[in-house]
Order: sequence, then C-alpha cells, then structure tokens
Amino acid sequence: MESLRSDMYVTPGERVGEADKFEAGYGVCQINNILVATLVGTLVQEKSKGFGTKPTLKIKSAKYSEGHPLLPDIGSKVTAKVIRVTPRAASVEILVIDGKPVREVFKGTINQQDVRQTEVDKVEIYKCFALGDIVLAEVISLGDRHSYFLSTAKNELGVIHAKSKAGVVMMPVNWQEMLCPATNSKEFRKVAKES
Amino acid sequence: MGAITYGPLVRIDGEGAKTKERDVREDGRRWDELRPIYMRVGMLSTATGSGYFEGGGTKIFCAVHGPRPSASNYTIDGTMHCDVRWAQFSGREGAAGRQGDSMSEEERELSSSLQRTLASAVRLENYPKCRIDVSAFVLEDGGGGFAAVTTAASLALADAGVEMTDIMAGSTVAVIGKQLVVDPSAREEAIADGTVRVGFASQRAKVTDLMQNGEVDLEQFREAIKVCCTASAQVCGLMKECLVKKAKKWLKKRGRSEM
Amino acid sequence: MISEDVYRKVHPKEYLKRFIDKDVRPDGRAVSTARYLRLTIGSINTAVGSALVRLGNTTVLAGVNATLIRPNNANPDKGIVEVSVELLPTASGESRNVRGEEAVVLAEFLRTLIIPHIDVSTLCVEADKLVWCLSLTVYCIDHDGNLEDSVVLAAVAALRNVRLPTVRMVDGDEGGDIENGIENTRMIDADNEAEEGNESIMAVVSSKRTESLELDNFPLTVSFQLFCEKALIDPSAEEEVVCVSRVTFIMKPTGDMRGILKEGGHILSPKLYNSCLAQSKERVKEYMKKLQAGS
Repeated sequence: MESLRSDMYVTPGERVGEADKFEAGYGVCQINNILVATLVGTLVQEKSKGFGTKPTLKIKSAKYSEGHPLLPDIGSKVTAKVIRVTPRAASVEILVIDGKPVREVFKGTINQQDVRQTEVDKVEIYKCFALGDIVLAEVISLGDRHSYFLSTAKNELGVIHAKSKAGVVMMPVNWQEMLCPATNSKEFRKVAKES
Repeated sequence: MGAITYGPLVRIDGEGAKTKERDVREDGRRWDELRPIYMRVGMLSTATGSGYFEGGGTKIFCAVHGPRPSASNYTIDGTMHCDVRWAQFSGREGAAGRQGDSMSEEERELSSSLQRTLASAVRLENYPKCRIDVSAFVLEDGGGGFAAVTTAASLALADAGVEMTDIMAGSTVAVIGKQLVVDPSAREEAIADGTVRVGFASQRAKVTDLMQNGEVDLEQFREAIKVCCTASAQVCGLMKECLVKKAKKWLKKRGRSEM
Repeated sequence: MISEDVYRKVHPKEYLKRFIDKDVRPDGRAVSTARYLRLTIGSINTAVGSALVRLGNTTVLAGVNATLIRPNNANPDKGIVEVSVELLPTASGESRNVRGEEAVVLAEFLRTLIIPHIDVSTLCVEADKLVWCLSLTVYCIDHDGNLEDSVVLAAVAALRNVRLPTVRMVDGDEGGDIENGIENTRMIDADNEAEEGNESIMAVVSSKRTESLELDNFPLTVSFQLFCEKALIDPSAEEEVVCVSRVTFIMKPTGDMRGILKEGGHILSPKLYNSCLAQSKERVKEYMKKLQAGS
C-alpha cells in the first residue's frame, strides 16, 4: 500500500501507510505494521532527510498548528505570573508557552538554585521576584506532582514586567534592579535582559 | 412532610405494545434502520473540543477539557476522567428524583464505562502529568442514551485534537420477541425483552464496550452484537463526514488569517 | 514585541481597558451592544416545558418536570415549585464542587425572582389529595458570561411553555373501567403504602397536555458590567473576569423597571443609570419579541 494522496483529509484511526515505507510523524502512530492517523487534518508527506531513512508521514491538523496541545516540555520558553514567593522558591502560573497562550494554566516552580547562574547559594528569592511579576523562564524538568520546574538562569530570562509597591510599572535599571518612575525608588528583581 | 413522588408523568400517549405486531415500527422505520442523525462539533466555547449528537429524541452535548494539569498525581501517562449525566427532565428513569449536584450510582457506573471505552483509543502516553476531562450531558433520552454518549464523546475528543488511534461509536439493539430492533426508541426500549449495547472502534473493528440487559438467548445475543457493530460502523461513517466538514472549515479560516 | 494573544493572556485588564477606552469591546461589539440572542422553546419532548437560550456562546437549557404528589400538610391546596440551577462540567470542566457556589447563588437569585410569579394554587388537582410538583432545572451548558440574564430568560421561557395534562380523580373501582374504555389515558395509581397508610388515590391523566401555567408579569433581567466609568451590557466571560462591579436591572415585560441589583464598588452615576435603564428597556423589547415568536 502506497501512502494516501497528500491533500486528503483523514480522521483518527484511518490507515495512512505502512511502517516499512514511512516514518511516523506528528499526528501519526504506528500500530503493528500500519501507520494510522490520530488527528483530524490533512496528510503531509515529508521527503526523507538522508540516505537510508524513510520519508515521514504527518498530519497537518485542521484546527491547530503543529505542536498542539500546548504542554510544557523541557526547553519550552514560558511566560508566567508569580503567585507565591517563599524563601526557597517562587510559584508561578504558566500563561504562555513558546509564544502561544495556553488554554489551561499550568503551575510552575522556580527553585532557589535555578534563579541565576552565579552565586547560586546566595540567592534570596524575595530580591528576585514579587507577587504579580511577569517572568520569562525555561522549563528544565517536568518537576514534581504539583508543578513544572522552571529556570531563569540565562541572561535573557527573568522578570519582564513588574509593578512597584506604589502600583506603577517599573523600568529595568540593571540585571538586578528596577526603578519606579513615580517614586524614584528602586526595587530588587532578577531582571531579564532585553534582547 | 416530604414530598412523595409517583413517578414522572411524561410520555403517556399511545400504547407501546402495538409495536410487536406490526411489520414496521411505530415511527415508520424498518427494523434495521437508524433514526435520522444530526451531528456537530466545536460549538462550546469554553471547551477544548465539543460534540453534539442528536438521533431521534436523543440529544447530547459532550465537552472535552484539557489536556490540563492533573490535580492529584504525577503520572507518566496522562489520565482521563469522564462525567456522564442525564438532565433531570431527560425522561430517563432515576434522573428525575435526583437532588442537586451528586451523581447517581448509574451515572457513576456509566461514566467509568465511558472512560474505559475511550481510553482504549486515546494515546494517553502523549500527555504526561496531564488529565483529559470528558463531560457528557444528556438533554433528552429518547432511547439509546448511553450509546449516543459514546459517539458524542468521540466526536468531542477528535474536535479537541486529542490523539486517538480510532473513532468510537455506540449503538443499541433491542430484542422484542424474536425481532432485533436497531436503535430503539425509548418506548421500544421499555417493552423490549432485552437490550444489547455495544461500543465499537470502527477501524480496528473491535468491541470496546458491551452491555446486555434483560433476557436474550444466546443465538440472539450473538446476532445482536453483529447488528450493533454494523449500526455503529454506519454511525462512524457519518462522524467522519462531520469531522472532515469541520476540518475544511477550519482550514479555510486559517488560510484567510494567515494571508 | 509580544503578540496580541499573549498580551491578552498576560495582562487581561490592560488589554480590556485599551479596547473600552476606544468604546469597542474585544469581540467587536460596541459598549452598548448586546449579543445575538437565540431562543428555542419546547425542544425537549420529555419535559413538560423547556427552553434553550444561546446568548453569544453562553448556552443555557431550562426544563420542567411535573409529578403528581400528595400536598404539603401546611398548604393542602397548593402545588409545589422547585427551582435549581446547575453549572455543568461541560461549561467549566471543573468537577462539580468547585463551581458549586456560583450555581447556588444563581439558583437563589432565580428563586427569589420567579417563585412569587407562579400561582401555586392553580397547581392543585384536589385539595389534601393531589397536587402538581413542578421542578424547574436550569443547566448551564456553556459559560461565556452573563449567566444571570440567560438563566432568568430560559426559566421564564420554559415556564411559559409548560403544558400539563388534565387530571381527574376517580374512585378505585371506576379506575379499571376507564383504563380499558378510553384510549390515550393512563391511570395513575397514586397509592402510597410507605407512609402512614393513606388510602390509595386514583386519577386519570389525559395524554394531551393542554393546561398552561399562569405566569403574569414575569421578571426579565438585563445585566451590565461596570468598567472605566462605562457600563458594558451583556458582558462576556472575558469581561466578567476582569471587572468586579455589576448592575442588574430587573424589568417587567412591559419595559418598566421592577428593581435593581448592584454588586461591587464602582459608582453608578445618575447619567450612567439613565443610559442603562434606556438600554434595558430596549433589550426587554428584544426578549419579548423572541419569547412571543417562540411560543
């Protein structure tokens, strides 16, 4: 059996090809020797990437772009809101994954040792994050049962939006301070370097 | 003093027993004929995916939420939770007397039945640490309610973009005397000697859920399962049409927004 | 530069404010434009009355179940009306208990509005023996804001749609004859063995449902969300999450105002009040048009 025509619509369970001729890509799953579609969409055939490899069959989902559903994965860049700060860690709600807003909010944790690269043991969480801050972070592990573990250790990661105690949006001064334009007071944060 | 109920007072016209003698059924169908089916996907805004099924007097909304963070445990595979309930005025026995938010025993049992049926096709291994919530609501049960729930839930899962290795449909066959009656109406169900309900995965041609009530002899039972599978396969065909139609709409819409 | 979608998710309040400052809403409506209302009446055959309301994406189904019961000792000549509201997991995805509070508040709101307008004495078949118990249940299937207005409208439409069979009390012996003699009737053997050994009650219930419910001067509501000194009629879920203050105008079918309900700390200035009232009157006309078209 050759693969089905490439502009054809498939539904879950439909056979799209044989496993010895094609590689299973996104939205395709191998059952015994048969490749079946697992999503609703159109079938796409990608040329083999090199000698000896098979061409890949994947589904272009009709409703979502590739990578759906949006689940945090190791290496994902996420935008998150700080909802709790303790001496050991900051708890956040993940709102955006790789530039796409999530439907369901996932919980994340930034542990003390993952806040910055240097002087890890001297990190004081209170001087890095405050409630309501919007943080750019990277997923480093699937974490414990409550949350994903995040890191802001890279320069371009950290707080990207914060309000001062006076309730005004602050401007970054350097990588660990922000300035409140209304009161001219400075507050400590782990600031993301603007790229 | 608490109110004493004497049973719901709807559906009281005519006499169902007449059905037994006639060649065709009281709604004019042949014995092996399904009721006209109407299906839609994606009409609930808050859900990731949704399906609506209407066949005869049976009307069902089903919503899928998630994959979302699992509240309880770290699991390598995802988990799935199902919640099936009948409207208090749906005409199903037992639904009328229920108070408040709690589920009846039967609803609990059917919810777990649905969970097992769907879990056989959903690729939960792709959703680590997450849960998928499937909730079905039967507005009106004009017979074959739970079978239709299976169908609606499958539609909703496909619409939500949850990876599945098959599409499932359910169907019911009633045994009235010597006759097998496909997709019985509520009244046919009430006078039947027994009913057989099957959940069917169309591509793999596998029975994923089987339930038999009442008195059915072995030969009839075998035959009933076969008939159920044929009926389910028919429904699956319609489901695919419905999904492809929607997919074309989505692709058109995306094409426009990307331009 | 962050995209619009991301800004919407991360800063929902600022996002909404940018729109409202320009007198337009995220879904494209003007501040004073309500969503399109679809009303389907009587679509549930198993209920004695039903109505499905779709207000934009918000979907609410109201249905009425009727049972014959022995009346309450305190009110032997009055029927009983039960009202409940349920937020289905199809709307929230949450397990029941989480959003239970919202449903309880809605149910109480509906109960206080609706119950006084139903004449329960018309639900009496025979005093001391048999009365109707109507249970009205409103299910919220999809929640995209403004459940209040949808729930009230669905409940009113379903109750107006109620058609009850005629019931006639008969003696025990007579019962058997009637069952055989007259077609399309059914015996209700309202025998109650469990409780205090009452004599059995027999009644003939017609198959045709003809008796409608008296429901005069029923209430209708029009809700606004207060935000940035503006009143957003018929708020969506996105708007409801951000705004904290809400005003609900309780109206009569004629368009007169019956009452007002306000929660949250925003000030409703006299000017805004007048504008809201005028909008409510217009909205009620729309409601009435749909109610009359459907029934």
